[in-house]
Amino acid sequence: MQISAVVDVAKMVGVSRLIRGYSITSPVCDPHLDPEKEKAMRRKYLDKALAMLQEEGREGEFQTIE
Amino acid sequence: MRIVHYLNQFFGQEGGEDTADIGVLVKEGPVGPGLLLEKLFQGEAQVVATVICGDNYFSANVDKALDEGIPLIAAQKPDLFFAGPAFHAGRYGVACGALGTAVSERLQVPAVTGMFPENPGVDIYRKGVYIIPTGASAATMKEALEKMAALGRKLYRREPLGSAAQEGYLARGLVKNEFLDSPGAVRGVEMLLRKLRNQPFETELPLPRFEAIPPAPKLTALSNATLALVSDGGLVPKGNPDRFKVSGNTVFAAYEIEEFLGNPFQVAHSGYHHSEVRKNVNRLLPVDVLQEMAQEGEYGNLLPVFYSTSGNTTTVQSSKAMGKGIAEKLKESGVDAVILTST
Repeated sequence: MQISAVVDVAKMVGVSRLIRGYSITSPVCDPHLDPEKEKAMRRKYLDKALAMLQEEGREGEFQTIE
Repeated sequence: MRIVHYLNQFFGQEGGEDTADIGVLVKEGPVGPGLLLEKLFQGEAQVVATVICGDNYFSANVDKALDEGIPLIAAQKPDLFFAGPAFHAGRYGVACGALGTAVSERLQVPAVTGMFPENPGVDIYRKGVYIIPTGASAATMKEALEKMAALGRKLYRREPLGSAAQEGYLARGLVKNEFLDSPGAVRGVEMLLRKLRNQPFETELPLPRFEAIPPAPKLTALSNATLALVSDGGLVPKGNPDRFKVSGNTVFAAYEIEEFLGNPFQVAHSGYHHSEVRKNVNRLLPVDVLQEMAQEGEYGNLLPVFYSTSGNTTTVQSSKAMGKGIAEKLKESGVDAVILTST
């Protein structure tokens, strides 16, 4: 599955498991957080990634991390 | 005639990749390439305002940027809207395409932009905004603006337009009925005969560029699964031994994760600001978290190598070739699923 901030391009080519990345320059976390919080945020992305790998792929859709 | 022109932070003279996060702003009159654009209208039109936005800000949240940008454009009461040209810059192409489409649909103002045909913005937005094909780099700025201005003028004057090929913009995939002298059956056979004789022929209906690839079936045994990390963010050992190109790259490489993390590395990718990744590579390659998750039994194991490439202005062809190549290697290694991180 893919984690990318620019979801429009990924959607267009047909990516079927897609999480909207945090930002272009830091796809899996907010780099301005304290190191522990930053790592916790990375964990959220990866938890979601593993969950999506266990679901059917859906082209043209993406999920976000709140 | 009132023209509003959109430019990214670079052409809008706000800075380079370091200012790619700036939000939407307006400057009075033409800026940078807008000066030439205005000149091309020889007094018939003025670029009354230039709207500028950072490429990261726009492309990472298109809806928000549109909600901010469209009212700013509307306030200038444009008769014509131009965006870019974006050449091969993907984030810029997305911004130009999105804005052009929104201006056209929401403000009913004719919109024209310009992009290199491989720009991802083309396939996303070709139906919504007129896109003039340009060269890959800003060396072709003058020619691009000339063609954009010419089409813009025709749209403003509501002159009847011929086909995309005749008018010089990228086909939008819209179908117009027209009468031809010869029926479809005859034209079809003629085309086939030309093909059989190795003579040149032109398809009447170009097939869509992206083949539909069915999603891989879901994982059912995550606890046993082997996962692999892949990234197109340009991560390479210091010295770039496999010679990734920072733009238009065509190669990928496998790097042993522990060795990679234990040695100096660099980023071979000129399409994003890498300072955050260089300070902590986990921001692009989340190894720390994935290793913990494996230890906790969340999944089977992480492949000890990751596959790296650089995905800046990569052609569709190269992307497909690299994707297939990486997938073959992953299958050989018994990988069940991949996490691909992209900048």
